[in-house]
Amino acid sequence: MQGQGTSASPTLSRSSPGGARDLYSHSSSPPILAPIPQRNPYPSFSLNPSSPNPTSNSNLHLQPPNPATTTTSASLSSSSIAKPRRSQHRRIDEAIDTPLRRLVRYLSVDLGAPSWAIVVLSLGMVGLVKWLVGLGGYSGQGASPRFGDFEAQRFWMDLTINEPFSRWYTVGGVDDGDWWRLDYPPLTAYISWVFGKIGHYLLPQHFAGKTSRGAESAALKTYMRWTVLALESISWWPVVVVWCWSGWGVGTRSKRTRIVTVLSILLQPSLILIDNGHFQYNSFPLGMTLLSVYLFQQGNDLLGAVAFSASLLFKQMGLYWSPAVFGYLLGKCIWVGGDEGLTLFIKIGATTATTFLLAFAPFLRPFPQTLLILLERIFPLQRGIFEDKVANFWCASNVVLKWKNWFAAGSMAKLATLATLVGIAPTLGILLWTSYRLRCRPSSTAPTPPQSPSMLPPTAPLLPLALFTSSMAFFLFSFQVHEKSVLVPLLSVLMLLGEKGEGDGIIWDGIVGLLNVATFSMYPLLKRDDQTLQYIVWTLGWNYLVGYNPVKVVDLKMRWFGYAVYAFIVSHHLMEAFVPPSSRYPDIYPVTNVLLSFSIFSLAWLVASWKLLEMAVSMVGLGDLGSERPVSSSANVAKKDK
Amino acid sequence: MLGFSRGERDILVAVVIVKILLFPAYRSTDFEVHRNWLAITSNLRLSRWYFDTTSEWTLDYPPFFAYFSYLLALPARLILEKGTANEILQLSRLPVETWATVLYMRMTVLISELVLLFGVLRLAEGPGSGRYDRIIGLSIAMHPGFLILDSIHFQYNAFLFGLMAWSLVGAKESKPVLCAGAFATLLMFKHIYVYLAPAWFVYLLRAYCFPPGSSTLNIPRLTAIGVSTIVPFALALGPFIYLGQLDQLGKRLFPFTRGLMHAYWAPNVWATIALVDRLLLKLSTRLTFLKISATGIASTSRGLVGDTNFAILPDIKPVECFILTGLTQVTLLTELWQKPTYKTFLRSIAQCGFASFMFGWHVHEKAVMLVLVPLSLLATEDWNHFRAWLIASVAGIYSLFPLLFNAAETPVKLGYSLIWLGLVYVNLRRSVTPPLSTMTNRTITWLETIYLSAFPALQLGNSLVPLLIARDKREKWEFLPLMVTSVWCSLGLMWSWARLCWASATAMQTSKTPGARKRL
Repeated sequence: MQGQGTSASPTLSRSSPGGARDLYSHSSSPPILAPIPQRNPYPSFSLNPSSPNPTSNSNLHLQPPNPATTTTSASLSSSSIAKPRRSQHRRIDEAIDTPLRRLVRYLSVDLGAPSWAIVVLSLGMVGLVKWLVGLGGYSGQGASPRFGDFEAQRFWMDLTINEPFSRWYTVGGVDDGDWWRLDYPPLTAYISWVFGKIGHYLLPQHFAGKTSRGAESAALKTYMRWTVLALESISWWPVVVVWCWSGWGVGTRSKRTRIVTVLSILLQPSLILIDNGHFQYNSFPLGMTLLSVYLFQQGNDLLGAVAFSASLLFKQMGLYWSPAVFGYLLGKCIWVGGDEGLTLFIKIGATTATTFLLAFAPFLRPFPQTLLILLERIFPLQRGIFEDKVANFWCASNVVLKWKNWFAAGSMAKLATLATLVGIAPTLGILLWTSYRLRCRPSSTAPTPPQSPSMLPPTAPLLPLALFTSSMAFFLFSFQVHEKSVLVPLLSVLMLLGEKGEGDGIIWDGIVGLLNVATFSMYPLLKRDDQTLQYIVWTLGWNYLVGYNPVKVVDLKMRWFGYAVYAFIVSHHLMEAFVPPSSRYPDIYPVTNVLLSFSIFSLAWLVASWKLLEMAVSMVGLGDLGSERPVSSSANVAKKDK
Repeated sequence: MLGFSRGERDILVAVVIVKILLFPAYRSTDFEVHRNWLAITSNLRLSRWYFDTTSEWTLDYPPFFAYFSYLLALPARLILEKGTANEILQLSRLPVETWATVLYMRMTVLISELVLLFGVLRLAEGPGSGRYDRIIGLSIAMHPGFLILDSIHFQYNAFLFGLMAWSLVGAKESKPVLCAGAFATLLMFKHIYVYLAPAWFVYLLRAYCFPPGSSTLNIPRLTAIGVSTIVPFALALGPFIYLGQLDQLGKRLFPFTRGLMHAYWAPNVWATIALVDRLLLKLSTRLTFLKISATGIASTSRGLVGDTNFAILPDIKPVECFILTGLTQVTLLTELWQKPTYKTFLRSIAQCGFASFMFGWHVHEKAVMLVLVPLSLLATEDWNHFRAWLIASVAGIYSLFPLLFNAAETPVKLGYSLIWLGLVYVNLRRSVTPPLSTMTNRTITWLETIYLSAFPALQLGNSLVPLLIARDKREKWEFLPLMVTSVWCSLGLMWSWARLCWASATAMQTSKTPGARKRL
């Protein structure tokens, strides 16, 4: 307490004495492994009236007792009341005190800022970081004649404001030098139109049709970077805030924990480096999908379906999530059962169909032709199984198995589709099976309330994991995958990312490690875009901010596994920097990158699938007890409380 | 690590991350200037340094900076591959801006800033340091002014102020040799600090050699201080005196071909007078008795480098500037003469900085750091100093913004400055108590609040007006936002100076009549 000086004193008046006394006075109680005691140590310690024996409380910490602090506390425990508390402070601090938490604590405790102000300030800092990363290079900068994603997006803005609807998806092609034709679904086109209009007002020379192709200027770069920030500040940041506040994210207990979680998610380097560095608008589909999950978990299936359709209508990679979403919604209809279930099914189907119809409406005439061209562009089956090196099954196994030599592109697509179907089958199966087994049984004797469409199905808690397994299956096995597409499965990983010390420390370590490997897997792309500096600095910076330290990973096996992985990554970067690849293996560095990333991704996929199955089995087992259905009823109670 | 608390470490890490991510940001021609000096000093013999004209960015800083450039070039030769090192250190007429060069030069700035960090941390240690001194020290090390000037615009100001900090360490810890030696060294790095030299002269003389009340000079001390001053001068100038190049050095260091004001008006007295001149010119169609100077009409509005002539008001000559600056400084230094304490010394440095910044010839807006750094060190003295610091910091930092004229850096300079100001304000505000709530005090505080709250509006105007003005008229109105910014900032700086003068006057009065109450 004394050690904290002024910073600890305001907490004195705000803590709850009862809980604190309970937790720390029963020194003979069995080891408390739940994370609750670590949540907010300051109030507990400053109000604790008795002098706790520090050695007996060592079970409260995630970390094994640090010998240095143990000796200090032992020597101090007999001298006074206040000092042992201080030593406990330090030990608990070491487990969970992260820079982000310190920041939020400073703002809320020391400065007394209200939560909304801290959130606004945090979002401002997130924007600043993204802007700083954006000062670096972008995709295709100075890379005449084709340039890159930056030019593609600029060209689409240019195209949509200068051409009528009917020509949006027909412009381009061989006669036009194949110039970055629009091959994203219509929502991208509409949003491009908005940004194109604004861009045309500000920088007319850069949105003036053919003469602007390959335009490059500081002003254009600034404008384009602004468009990314503008879109994500309305479609991604608020959704993350709402998600973390909703009670479904991991970090849900205190306001400060929620803010820390918001910051951890929004500052994660993968998305920043791709969207704000490389240049794309992936935050929009991510935000819309997260919004749909949030709405599903609020019981609002129709709006959720609209949000998910928006994600699909913006970028086709949203399909990666669709088995999980489909499985969840269909599962819910089955779970509700009877006429009500059928009605729900029709309602969801009609809503989705209407959304799609509205989005595609301008392209329906002349009827089949435009639509066919559009679909062909969105799903380019004539392209190869993979273009650049990507950490999926096909590219990784290509080291040994030369797929491209054995199969034509068409049959390769079929093979890939088959493999993907096999890959997503477990996810879909688990969701439907669980829903079916836990469905309403009319023969039930106990007076349980019948399920209704406004209730949450028992599969709701499975959704984040199911999204991961489904999208990762797509990433690993489907056709025409880009290294950036790893952002799709990463969304679920971010959904599960809480604050350090929150929930199971082992899961947190694993998640951060997986995120780091995912960032690493995109390094070849970032290197091409002159984002190497940003990649290094911000990956290290984020790990520092969230308090991840490979040396202090909780689980010993995971720690050593992590050492191996990080040693591989570091030596990979060092080798690449100093040893040029031999002429026999010019792609040695991208290939080793792919091999490592693929191993980790497939491991994560297997672990997640197993966890999903485990959760489902535990639920079904409980559901089989008959009429009680603890999972669904507890979820309903939680919902009613809101 | 150096006794940093966790919070301090977090802030340091964050600042370093920001500064590294700023590597690809905009850089001014000063980047090529400094790179060229590395090239000159590493490729040519000492005798050619001040004669080389391969690039137009010739060496025009004193010799220590040339030696410093030589040192900065050494690691490139030792560590980097030969090709890369040659690329960075090539003597070239055209700018060299490869990524390796940018990376290397930016790194030298970042590392050289450690001198400032260690200097201010040392300054915050030891007896006589309050709990706020460490916050002040860190606030100086992470000052947005240095971020703008060094990490983006490109210079080595933080390093130079680091030398100044070490000189102040000498003053604070009563080590006159360190104080004099470090300052003499600083002068031989960049001669602009000569504006502050009177304060050092009076302080060293009165505090150590000829203290108030004594009748004789302390000769041994005077000798020690003299030697420690002369040694750096000799080391710097010696080789060039030996080579007989002193006059060439003089020509490079003191080019008297520049105008009263820089392209962008530094926010000083002349900016306000220039505005008055412009307004009078507008009115001159009605007030026919005013005599219009033809050269003045063209000159002031465009703001080109070169001679600035007023259209209506009498022109200012360099001599007049120097006399004005000198007289003001002498007047303000009487306080230090009477009471040569460390705190008075700090105030006198700020006073010298203000006098030279306000009345100097061809003052650059960057020179505002000469005021902001000593003012920061005084910020927790009392309410008066705190408000002087606050207003000068806001106005001074804002006046640096036009240096970064690209939209890409705008979020960074605004965001960083706001976070810095908020953090430092909140921490230092606790150290002072507001004065009695009299009518006068409340009016003053109220006016100051109005002044400060105009800055967001000013920024909004500066950002939006260019977008809203029709494209063909933009060129014509380009100078307007700069003029408004400059004049508005100059008002704040003048008021801050007035507060500081009030502080000096009060301190002198208090020392004469003990028990006199401080007002304001």
